[in-house]
Amino acid sequence: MPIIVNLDVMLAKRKMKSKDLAEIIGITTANLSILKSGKAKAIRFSTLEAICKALDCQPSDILEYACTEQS
Amino acid sequence: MKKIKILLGFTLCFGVFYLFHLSSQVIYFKSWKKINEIYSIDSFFGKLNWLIEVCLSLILLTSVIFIFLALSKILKKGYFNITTSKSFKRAGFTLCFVSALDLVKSVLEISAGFHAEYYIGYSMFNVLLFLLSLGLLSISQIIRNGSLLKQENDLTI
Repeated sequence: MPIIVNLDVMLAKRKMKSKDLAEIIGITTANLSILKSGKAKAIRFSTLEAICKALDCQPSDILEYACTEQS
Repeated sequence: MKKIKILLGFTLCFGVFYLFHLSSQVIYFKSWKKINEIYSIDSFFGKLNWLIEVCLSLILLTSVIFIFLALSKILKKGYFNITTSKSFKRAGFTLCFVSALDLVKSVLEISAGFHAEYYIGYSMFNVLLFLLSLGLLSISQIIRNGSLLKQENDLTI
């Protein structure tokens, strides 16, 4: 998928654990793990809003588009 | 789920009775002499008619088994999953195949002038079976699409 989730980087920058973030935004650690690993198919605006609020960042800090050429 | 359980029970009963009927037919017509006496006079395929009917019945039984498997998987894993879709698809294709073959057989019997009044009614039953098979294939497609939607919904965080 050309959308890369940089949640790990932001968590490291804010020195926050995944478990704590999951508790703050109100999702399970399993779901947060799916999001971090890039297996998620979609993300709700409410979840994105909660993550941005908790990490004090912009959506562009978490999500990144990487162009992949297909042969 | 209660209705699925009832349907599963009926399918199981039908399968068992059909297997019993099929085995009794095989046991009753175990000698070619007996088959010759009954079938060779009033059938287009002669004594082979018996063999064709047994083969068609076996394919129909296979279809019933696939339906049974699909229903039991619905009970285990819920309505939308790929395995149920595959089982319904297999059941649909086998039912489609058996009804088409039976229809061709009926048409041949009618054109040859054997028991036309019986085979006209029987061919209508085959058309109904064919429509049922198309219905099963449609259900398979619906379950497949539902499964994809469910998967996407489950992976939406």
